[in-house]
Amino acid sequence: MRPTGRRAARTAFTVAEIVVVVALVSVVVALLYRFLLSGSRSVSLGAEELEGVRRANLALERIKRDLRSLCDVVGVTGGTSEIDSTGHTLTFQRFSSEPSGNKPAAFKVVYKAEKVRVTRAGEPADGVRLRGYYGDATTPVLDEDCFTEVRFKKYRLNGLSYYQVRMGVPDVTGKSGKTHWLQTSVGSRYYHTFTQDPNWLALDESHYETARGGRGIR
Amino acid sequence: MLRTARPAGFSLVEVVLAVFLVGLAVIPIFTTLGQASRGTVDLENEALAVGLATEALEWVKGVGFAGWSQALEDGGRAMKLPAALQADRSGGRLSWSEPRVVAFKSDEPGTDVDYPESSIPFAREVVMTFVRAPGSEVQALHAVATVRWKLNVRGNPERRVAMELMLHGVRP
Repeated sequence: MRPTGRRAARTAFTVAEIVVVVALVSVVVALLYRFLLSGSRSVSLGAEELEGVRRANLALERIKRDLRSLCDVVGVTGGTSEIDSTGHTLTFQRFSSEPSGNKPAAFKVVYKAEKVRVTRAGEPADGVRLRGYYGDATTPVLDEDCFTEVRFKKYRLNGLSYYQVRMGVPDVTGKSGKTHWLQTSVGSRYYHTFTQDPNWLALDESHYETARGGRGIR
Repeated sequence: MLRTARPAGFSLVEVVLAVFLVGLAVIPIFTTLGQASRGTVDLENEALAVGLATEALEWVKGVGFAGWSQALEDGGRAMKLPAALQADRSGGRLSWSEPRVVAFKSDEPGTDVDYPESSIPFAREVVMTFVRAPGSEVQALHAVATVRWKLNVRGNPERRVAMELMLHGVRP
């Protein structure tokens, strides 16, 4: 016998309720998915971009370390620092960390920025190895596919020479299309110490053991 | 006779409330994702700020202890810097401050010290203080280079990088 009078207790959802709930849940899930997807995508792109900045930083540190040991060897071709007109090639002499006899040893370093590739050559090869190093032994590739532009510039300030290094890291998100820049200026520790010394005189080839021969005392 | 029993399912109001609560709960997730992305931008700025602070300390090191001692005496009038040098002789303090990092003239024409556009929102300050250990002839010049910038996000929080340097010498 069917219950009479008021309606019996509801034991399930009505179709209308289910439809509304499914619709609401779908909307929430769709929104969540979209937000989470774009969020995780921007985080991973950010991490990739950060990796570019980190690599550029490593390269910049390498260049700074070389420039801090820069020296000028007067009277030798290529004995003084040189930057080509495009600002993409920097050539200079630097002290070796291993002196030869009682003289400091110097050798030539060439940084070349070609498109997105930066190479560093020591003459003779000084065996500098970098994390993630590749390329041949004499001209290791400092980094590749990491920069949009690398520029070297020399300027004098208060009578002293400084080398400005600018590196551009591309925006991999492609949203802004802009470049993230890293830049600093470095001066040679040795050069500045000498010029601060009132008894300083320009040092000629005879003071160095250069890579071009010149072994022994002249 | 049967009375209407309490409904066993959820009512529409309950479901809407539940959805609203779930919505509230996911807000922190989005906030975390946003912060992670902001952190990336911040680290990029930090790399550039470190470069700018390093550059200022290179200039300090280049001029040297004797040069800055002279600047304290004569106010550094002949000194070429991105901003005017402030000299406080009685306090043994030298400083310069750049509200925005912009290009300035070097010693030679055509080789201005210039910066990428993204450096402009940075402010740089260098403070140098002469310090002396009691009873010692030797003094030190303590230099601090601080680079500040603001993140372009809600609340506009300020970030800064500070680097320091000590130069030793004997002041005349």
